Amino acid sequence: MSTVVDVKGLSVTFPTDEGVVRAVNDVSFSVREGESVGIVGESGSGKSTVAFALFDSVPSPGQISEGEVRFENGKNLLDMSEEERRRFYWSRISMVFQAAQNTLNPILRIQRQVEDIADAHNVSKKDAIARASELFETMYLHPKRVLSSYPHELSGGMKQRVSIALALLLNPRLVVLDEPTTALDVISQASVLRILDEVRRNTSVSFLFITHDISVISQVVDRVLVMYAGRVVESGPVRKIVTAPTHPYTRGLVASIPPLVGDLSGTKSVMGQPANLMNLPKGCAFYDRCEIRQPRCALEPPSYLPIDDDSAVACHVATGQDQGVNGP
Amino acid sequence: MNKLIRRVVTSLILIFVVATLTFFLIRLMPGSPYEVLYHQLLMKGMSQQQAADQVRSLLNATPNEPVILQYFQWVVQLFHGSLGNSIAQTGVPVTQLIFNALPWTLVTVTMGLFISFFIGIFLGVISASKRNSWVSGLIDNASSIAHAIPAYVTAVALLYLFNVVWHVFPSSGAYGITVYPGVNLPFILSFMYHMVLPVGTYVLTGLGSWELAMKATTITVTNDDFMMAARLRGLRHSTLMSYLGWNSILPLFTGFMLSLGAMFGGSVFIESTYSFPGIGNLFGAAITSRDYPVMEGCFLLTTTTIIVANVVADLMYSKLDPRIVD
Repeated sequence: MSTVVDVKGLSVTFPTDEGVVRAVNDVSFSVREGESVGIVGESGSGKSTVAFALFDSVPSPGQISEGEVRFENGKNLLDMSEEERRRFYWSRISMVFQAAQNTLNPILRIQRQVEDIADAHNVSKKDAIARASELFETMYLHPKRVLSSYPHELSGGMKQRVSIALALLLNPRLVVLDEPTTALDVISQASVLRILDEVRRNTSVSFLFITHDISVISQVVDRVLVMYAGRVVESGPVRKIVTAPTHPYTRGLVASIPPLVGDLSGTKSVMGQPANLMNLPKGCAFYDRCEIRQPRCALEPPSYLPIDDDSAVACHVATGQDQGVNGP
Repeated sequence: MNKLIRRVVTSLILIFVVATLTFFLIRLMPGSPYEVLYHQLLMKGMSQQQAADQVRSLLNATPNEPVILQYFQWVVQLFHGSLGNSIAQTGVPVTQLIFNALPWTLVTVTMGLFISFFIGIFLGVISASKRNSWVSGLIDNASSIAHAIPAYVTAVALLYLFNVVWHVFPSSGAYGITVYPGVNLPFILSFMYHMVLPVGTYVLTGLGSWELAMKATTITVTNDDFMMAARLRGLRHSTLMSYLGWNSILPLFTGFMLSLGAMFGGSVFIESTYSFPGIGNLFGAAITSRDYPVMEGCFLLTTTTIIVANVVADLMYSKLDPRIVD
């Protein structure tokens, strides 16, 4: 399986009046062909910033201070020219936005917006409309009706599905989905997730899901990266993360999923406040909230180390790095 | 269609109501042309009866007649398509005065509005795209100042600079004395030459508000999610600009149509300053001499243009913006 995207040592900083905020700190990961990867974390963990960094479109005043983003072992995205990048977007990597309701031009029919994408990437308009109709069909949308509609004539769930169809329009290698179901009611959430799962099984496209809700994506991803305070703290196959999490923060996240049936006594929230990115502690960023912290954790940050073939974690305690803290 | 007919009927009623109100309002102004003429005739040695008859025949009204009766006469006239005769220019029908003056104002006002609109839009987009640099500050401040100076001050200032100091443009009239009005090149050139200062005044006083409004909507739309999405879709620069442009200009459209109507009223100060023979000048002179029929005619014209512009804006807006459903 070839690698679709390879991110190395990515750091994103936001210069502010009070100081520099490190929203993303030395993040590395890769997504293979046909693989579906989830990035989970709470608000401010840097997960959305990673998504926008893949497009080199971090919201102002943020900037990518370090790192590289390579697609299919090609050129570093950050070194591409404006025009190169424009052609690259959407044909190779596309995105389903968090507020999909507002991501369509309000004064143009869907058909015209499909044609504009086709025109921008030198695809014939007829082919693009045919492909869009086909995608709409698989998403239980009436192609003719949707194409001739203005965005405001569609419901929120329909717009989200249109947005997913547009993301798949040019058969990209990677689709980044930023909280694709957050703005939807549970019924629409389920249908959107089912559609995405079908697409994933029937094509070789890779997905990168960005979400705060680990339970939502557990059915549609193969691998999960857990982010905390701008760093990846744990990664591994979704099954392992959900059933046997290693990092205390991941354990907290998993324990916070309410069960579908039964009482909520086993459900716990992660105590404390998210780390202040402006003033990160010297040691582990999760120290203040950690239930298994050791003296060493306050002194030096844990390294992100593999614990077996397909998992890695950044925790002194979990990886046994704390051994010999007070040793010779 | 049904809706259109309803709009037209309500507009007609509205115009009639406003015209009625102005009919009574202008009679509340101190001084009256009837009194002036009546006393002039008495001074000439006429008997009171003769003078009253003369006033009635000249003005088609009796000085001491109750206002309500004058009003009914005026309404009857109006439905016969007449606005009465001017008092100051004795016997000349008001409709004729208005039709003589209208083309001059229509051309200058429309040109002034379009030019100020386009310059304002252009500057607004520039200011929005360079909003963190000094260029934006310069454009915004210049626009605010131009907008804040009253039209008659701008008019006098331009007149002083370009006529008195530099002798570049003529001080009055709509065309030179050596040309004949009509479709001929010398006349058109002369007209354009004479309209530079009036049109320039409309442009200077108008563009500020367009610039500031356009800057605001452009910045709002630039930060809209759909613009970010459009960029990441790799759309061509020209497509992005058209997305941005149309979404930013749409909110200004109603204001533009209303200005078209309202500028007839605003033309009073500007045309008076340049002795430009348009509606504004006619209106100004009529107010000074309390020429009721001409004032009523001009008010009727201004009211009608504003209301019609409003209806047209409404009807067109639902065609331009799909979100508005009629």
